[in-house]
Amino acid sequence: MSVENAPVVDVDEAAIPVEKKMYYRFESNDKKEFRVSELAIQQSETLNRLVEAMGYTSEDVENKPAIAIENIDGKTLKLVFQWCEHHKGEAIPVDDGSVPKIVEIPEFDAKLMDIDNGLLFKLIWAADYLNIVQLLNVSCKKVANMAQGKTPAQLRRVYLLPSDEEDEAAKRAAQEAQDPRAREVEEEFEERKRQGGNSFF
Amino acid sequence: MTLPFQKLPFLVMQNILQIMGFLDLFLLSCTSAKTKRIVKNAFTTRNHILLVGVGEALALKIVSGYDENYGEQIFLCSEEIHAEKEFHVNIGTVDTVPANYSEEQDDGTLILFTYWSDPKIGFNVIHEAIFEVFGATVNEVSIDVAGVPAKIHQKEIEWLENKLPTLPSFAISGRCSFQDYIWLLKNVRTKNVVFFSMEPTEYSENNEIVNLEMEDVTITHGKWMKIHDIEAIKARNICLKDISLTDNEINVFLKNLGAFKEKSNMKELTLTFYRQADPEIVFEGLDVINEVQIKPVDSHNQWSFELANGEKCTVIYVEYDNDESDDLIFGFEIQIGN
Repeated sequence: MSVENAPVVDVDEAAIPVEKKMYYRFESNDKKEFRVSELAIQQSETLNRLVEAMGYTSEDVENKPAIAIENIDGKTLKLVFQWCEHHKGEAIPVDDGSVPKIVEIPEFDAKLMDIDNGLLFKLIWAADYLNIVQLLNVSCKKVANMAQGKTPAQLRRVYLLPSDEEDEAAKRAAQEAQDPRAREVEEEFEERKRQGGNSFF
Repeated sequence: MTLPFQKLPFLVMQNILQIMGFLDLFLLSCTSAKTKRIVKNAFTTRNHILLVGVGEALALKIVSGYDENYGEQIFLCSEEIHAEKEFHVNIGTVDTVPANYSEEQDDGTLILFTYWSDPKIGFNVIHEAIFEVFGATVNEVSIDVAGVPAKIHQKEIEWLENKLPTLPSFAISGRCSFQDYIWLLKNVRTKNVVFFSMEPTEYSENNEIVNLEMEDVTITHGKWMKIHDIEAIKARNICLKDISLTDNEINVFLKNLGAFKEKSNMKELTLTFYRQADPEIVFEGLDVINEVQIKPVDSHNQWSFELANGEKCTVIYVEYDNDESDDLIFGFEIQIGN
């Protein structure tokens, strides 16, 4: 799909100010285009550095192709930019090292993250990749909340945590995939054991 | 609703773990060896502390090293207690420990109850597991002796002192008989900070000298103490509350202190009582200098005199706030040294 034909998703039309402000164009890996205000972009350290490095003028933004974000899909990117527009101008929190880390989820963020866990997973990856500290914090808080009051069995199910046996099996499989000869050796060893030999040599 | 936690980037996993409550983290670390490693590695600064509570059950409280008001508790109960054990958890080397959660507390936290054939063995297992995951070491043991037969808490204190010989702080509270009270004073061997906050149900004549030797000692119900009981305490900082010494007896104590020729280990002694003192009587016969001009802002007055060993003894007369009743509390803060 050409850039001209790509759907344009206005993230927050009401937020478009009357005065002339710079709006950058971004494109997701499924060719969805977004126009995002300069102030909203500041929430993302990665994008902020990128646009600073590009040094685009207002004309460049309109005339040059949208900036491609190749590893985030449109559905996820829409959430990301909605969040950035809503929180534009807010200070980026600095980690004071306290544990447990105190994170409050504002009402807007709670509604934004009222999504299935598959999309939440992608949102977290996107927030991490784009280095949006507070979006990462609130999405991590949502994941942390899933553990509250859960039993170990429930935690295994919620977080898809493999058991020790499953981890061991995965480790063996990975080793064998790396070294096919290892599997042959093991089979040969098992065969010799079956034949009564107790020594491999 | 599932989310593949281990497929998240490590720093994201770390962020999630640093937001989680201690009990969630603890149970998460019990799900597998790999998850335990992840949880452990998420806490590079290992400064949480562990408080041990002994009452009707043993309890461990993990307290944040950043906010001492934030803590979560694990209780270790006897298996014989009738309770609905809702799930099992593998802790350290012990598999399928029966457990359940409490109702949510006022501060929004839950309490994890674990059930053991011998809670003392459970203590060892959970203590090691918490140390491994959080690096938290026991900072304080607090024992509530109320409602617990004397023989039981006496055994518990002996066990804890053997288990935790370098314990930084020991606090005892609750009401007990005077006989038990004296036993506790005589048998706590911790050498660091000790709070004897327990209250005797009655005050009998104490004919035994209780030799307390520790760094810092507080006795909150000191009505029973005579001059020789105070003089028998060998500690750097001493705080004796609710004492019944008269002004004349305090005067004798100060004179004895003044006559002491060797260098004293004691640096500060606070004596508090529910009455006003008469400084004329307290300092009678002592060559004191009135230091009202340099007294601390919130005190009534300050005096000093020289001890026979050459050290300066400063005595500050203070009125304290009383949060529990309308009774006025006064006291002397005696500081040794220049």
